[in-house]
Amino acid sequence: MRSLLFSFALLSILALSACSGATPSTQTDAPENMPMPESMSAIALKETSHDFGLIQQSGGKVSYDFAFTYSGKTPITITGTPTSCACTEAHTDKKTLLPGESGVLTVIFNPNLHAEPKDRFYKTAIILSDPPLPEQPEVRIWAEIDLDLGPKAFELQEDHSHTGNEPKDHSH
Amino acid sequence: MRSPLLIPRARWKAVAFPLFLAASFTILSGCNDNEASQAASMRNIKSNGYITVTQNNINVGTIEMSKGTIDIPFLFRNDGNEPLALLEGETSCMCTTASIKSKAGRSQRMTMRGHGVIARMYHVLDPGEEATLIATFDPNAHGPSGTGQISRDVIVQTNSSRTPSMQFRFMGNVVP
Repeated sequence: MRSLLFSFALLSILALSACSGATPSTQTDAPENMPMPESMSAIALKETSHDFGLIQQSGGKVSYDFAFTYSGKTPITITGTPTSCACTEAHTDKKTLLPGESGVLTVIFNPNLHAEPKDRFYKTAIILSDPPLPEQPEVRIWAEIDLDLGPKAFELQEDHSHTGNEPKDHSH
Repeated sequence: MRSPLLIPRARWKAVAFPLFLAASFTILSGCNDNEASQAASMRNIKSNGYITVTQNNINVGTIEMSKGTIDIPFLFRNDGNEPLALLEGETSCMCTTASIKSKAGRSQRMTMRGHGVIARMYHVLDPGEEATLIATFDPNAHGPSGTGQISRDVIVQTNSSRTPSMQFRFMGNVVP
């Protein structure tokens, strides 16, 4: 019985060593978790996500205001509010934030730009600043679209092959 | 000293050798060909493995439309103590696709949901194993008016309990 156990132990060691040939031994004691302290996120958003629910493709753009407060010690400049998709745009009401100042990040979504996922999906908007913040402020907007006009009505049609810049195929 | 539970040396060899052969065969086939079935069997099991991205939120700076698509590589690693399976992935925008390259090979191309099939993956990352996600951004996807600041996300689902949904992000400024 013991020899059987021993065989299994040996096999396990063999199996592990065979499968983990590329394991770097230096990184096995990685810190368990390193969450950024709450106090360091200098732009505190009251809400970080908003669900538009089911919206109609024909209903036009929808928008939501995310309120925030700047808690840094020196003024910062907002250099941009890029979003994760062309269908989403965002802007803040102020370009410079003083310590303790509040502001609004407005996120606008266009349900008729192009095809979106059939069920619920989200897009993100972030705030970039100078100097940059230790943690990038991010909000998410959720939506589901009722395609009442159909795909032919999209402002941007799927076929844009005329650009001649199709993604390179890496599979070969 | 000799334990009665230990089998004689001769019989030990007779037992061990076939076992060793069988094990070697299992190990070899398991590590190379069966990663797909391993990944499939891990789909519904939570793993203590977790993903660390070496550099995320990559700022690629100016992106010129006239120069066409650009590739942005993200190196990541399973920093946990258990194998971790990559399940599927999608991108936040029709202008962005992505694929993952590991020792198991290259994944299906990820797209925005609604613009192609959802890319299924068959990649298992052993503890400490590294892989690369390559995001491909097409600055011309939205036509000539698609200039300005962008941030794009690639979202990869895993069976990790700590990093079930990994977001890889790059930013840039699109100019003509």
